[in-house]
Amino acid sequence: MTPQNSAGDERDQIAAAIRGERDALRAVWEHNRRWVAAVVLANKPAWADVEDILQDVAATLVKKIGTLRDEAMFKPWLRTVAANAARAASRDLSHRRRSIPFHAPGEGDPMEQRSGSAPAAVEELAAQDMRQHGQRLLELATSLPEGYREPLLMRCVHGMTYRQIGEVLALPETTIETRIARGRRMLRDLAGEQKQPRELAPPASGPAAGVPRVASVR
Amino acid sequence: MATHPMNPSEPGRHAETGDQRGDQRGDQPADLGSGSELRSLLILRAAEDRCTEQDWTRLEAMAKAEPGLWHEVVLTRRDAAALEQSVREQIESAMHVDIPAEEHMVLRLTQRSRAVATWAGWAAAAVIGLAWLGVPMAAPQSGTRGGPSGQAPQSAGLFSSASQALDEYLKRGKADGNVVQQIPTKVLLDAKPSADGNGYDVLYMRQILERAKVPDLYKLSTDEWGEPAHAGDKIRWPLAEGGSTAY
Repeated sequence: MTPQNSAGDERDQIAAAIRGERDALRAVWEHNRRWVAAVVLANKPAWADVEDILQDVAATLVKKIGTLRDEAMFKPWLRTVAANAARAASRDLSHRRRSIPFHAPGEGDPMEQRSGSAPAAVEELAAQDMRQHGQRLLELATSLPEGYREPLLMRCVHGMTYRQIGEVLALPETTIETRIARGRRMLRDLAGEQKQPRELAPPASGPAAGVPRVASVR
Repeated sequence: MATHPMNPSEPGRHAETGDQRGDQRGDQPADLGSGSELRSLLILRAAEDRCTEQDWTRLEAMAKAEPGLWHEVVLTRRDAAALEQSVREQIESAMHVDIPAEEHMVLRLTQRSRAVATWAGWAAAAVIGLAWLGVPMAAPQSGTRGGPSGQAPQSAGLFSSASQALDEYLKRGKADGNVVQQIPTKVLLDAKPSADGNGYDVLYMRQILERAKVPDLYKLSTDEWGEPAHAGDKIRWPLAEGGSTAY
């Protein structure tokens, strides 16, 4: 299937979903929910649950999709629904996360616990470091201005191109690329201020504390 | 076209539009500016394996003056991989979230109700108008006010169920001429899962087509409070020669 055929098929499917065809509505949701989840992640309060908010978004999609007049506006509209639902979660305590994640850095050091071979332990430690680094970067990314964090997190969704991100945010590809480039640089600068736990002593307070907020893009 | 997020007067402003060169991931690099924006873009492209030959040439030229630039490419690539993994973990658990079935049914009900309202528009308005005027809905043949065929209504105790009473009503109504037929399609108005978890509790409208003879028909309008009101004009039929207009 050529990209043009694929785009045309998607447009037809969205039109069918707007008309209320159940199968088309389900297919459209399944096709788009990954990047919708990324938008939710970019806009939700830290303690809120992505899954809960996504259910609210799905419910709103079903209720309101019939109001759309133009299939081309579907993705920007759905993005707005997701962002609004995520922000509304800060006012609704029922979305507070049910489970508390994770271990603080240094807790349960696998080097002490592991009785296997040294190379495997090093690999696991490297993987754990990578995971913790990723979590730290995600916390920092959510502190970036909206214009940067949304394209940055959407880019993390497997297979999402700059063009597709541009369709969602109603921006040109070139603007998306610029914002992601700057966003990655800002992230690098913020992460560099806090250093890796294995390289230097861990910071006195939490990873996001004291992170300077960059002025809003808009 | 969106405006550039940076100060437009800043050196090295990245162009919003550019020539469309495709690449393997479907992203299309555009013309670059110079300075820090160019640097950031080239590092991003190198980290994402999207550099063109010209991009590599520029990077190598920059790296001659700034050897640490390659290290920054590596760190950017590592950060992208780590962030991607973290985002994937966060959203993966939400991938089983599906469209709620209940809202689905509400959506379809809304559409059906709209369709019914459209179809029944004139007929419904005429019936409302007749009711407002207090015109009895007499059967055309019996001439009796109210019920069919002038007979006293049977006691409810003679029917073992409402559906039996309904069947009797339809049979007698057809015999008397004021019942045309029961429309086979029922209109679903509301539905919700049953409290016991088995099936759904539904609210639906049963449609029975009936015929009546009335002395006059009037147009309906609305009063100053938006309520239906007699418009004062009789409906004048453009009757076809030799026949009546069916609705």
